Amino acid sequence: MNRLKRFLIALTIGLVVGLLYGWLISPVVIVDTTPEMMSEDYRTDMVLMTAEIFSNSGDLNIPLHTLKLLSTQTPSVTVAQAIEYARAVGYAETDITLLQVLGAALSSSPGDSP
Amino acid sequence: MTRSLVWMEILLGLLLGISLGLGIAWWIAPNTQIDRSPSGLSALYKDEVRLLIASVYRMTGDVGRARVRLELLKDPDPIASLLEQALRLRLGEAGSVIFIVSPGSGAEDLAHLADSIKAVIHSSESTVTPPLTTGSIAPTATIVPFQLLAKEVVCDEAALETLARIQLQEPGGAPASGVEIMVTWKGGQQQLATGLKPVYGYGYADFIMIPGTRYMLQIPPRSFPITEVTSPVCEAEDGSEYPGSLLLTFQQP
Repeated sequence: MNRLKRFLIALTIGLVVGLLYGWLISPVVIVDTTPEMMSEDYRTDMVLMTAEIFSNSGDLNIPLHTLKLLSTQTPSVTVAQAIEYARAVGYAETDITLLQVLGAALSSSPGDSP
Repeated sequence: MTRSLVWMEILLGLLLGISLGLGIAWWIAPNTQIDRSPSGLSALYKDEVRLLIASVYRMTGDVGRARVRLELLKDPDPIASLLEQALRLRLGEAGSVIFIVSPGSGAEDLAHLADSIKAVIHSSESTVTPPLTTGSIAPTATIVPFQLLAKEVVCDEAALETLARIQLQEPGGAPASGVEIMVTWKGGQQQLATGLKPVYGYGYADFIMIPGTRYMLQIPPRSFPITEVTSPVCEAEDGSEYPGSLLLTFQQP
């Protein structure tokens, strides 16, 4: 009986150690994600990149294709959300202006659909 | 019961418990976390992000911001990743859903950004002593890109290796020594420097080409990559074919 008890105690300790390691220290991390799955700060920076491209080229194609990768919503809504986030975390005014210019251009664009 | 047997039982219990715990934590009931950073993106989307970064850099010239953005991808070697993607784009082995119209120009943007980052790293690593001037304006160094002057096929049946021999010349034709050359191919990269084999001249460098592999040469910091560097096919006297070498001569205009 003592042997079984000792074995079960060791098994339980091992189980707890294994669970703690697998859940907390080295949990399963999903990689190979899509842009849509990125957190809002990274998505906002990608929106800003498209705004920078639009500001310099005047071409809406690249922003439209990129924004559709970032969200299933309409591109102008994605940009509006990015502006909101950019304001909340204190982006530079010049960057917010770029986002606003892109948002305005998109809202009057025929490509502004989900 | 011996003491060692007791410890064996405890150890066995611990190992079984750990295995069971890991099995539950990783497969049966995982605490799944999603990597929501750009580094967690699939290779396809990382390519798109690199293209965006390079395109923005071409338009804004803000290399600092481009570097920060690239670092978020956590590529082991960001410059190599840029060059490797540029090569894949040029070879038609990569595409883009964002840059549908002009994926080819993306390759130049990627290479240009790689050049600029290398130049920034290089300049930050080297200590520049400002020249002493007596009131006059010090001359500003201008980076003049090397241009391909000649590409010759060298057929030699007796040669043991198929080499890409490179000669770099300064504007007057003098050998350009100590110039770094970046060679990239699918799955690899090599850095050369001219002048390490002075028997062939101080502007000389070479690398071994594997027949059938296509290489991209780049002379940092300001030359666009030259593609289509591959071992040529030579014909022997008996009509059989064998891989030849290349002699590439570059000059600063």
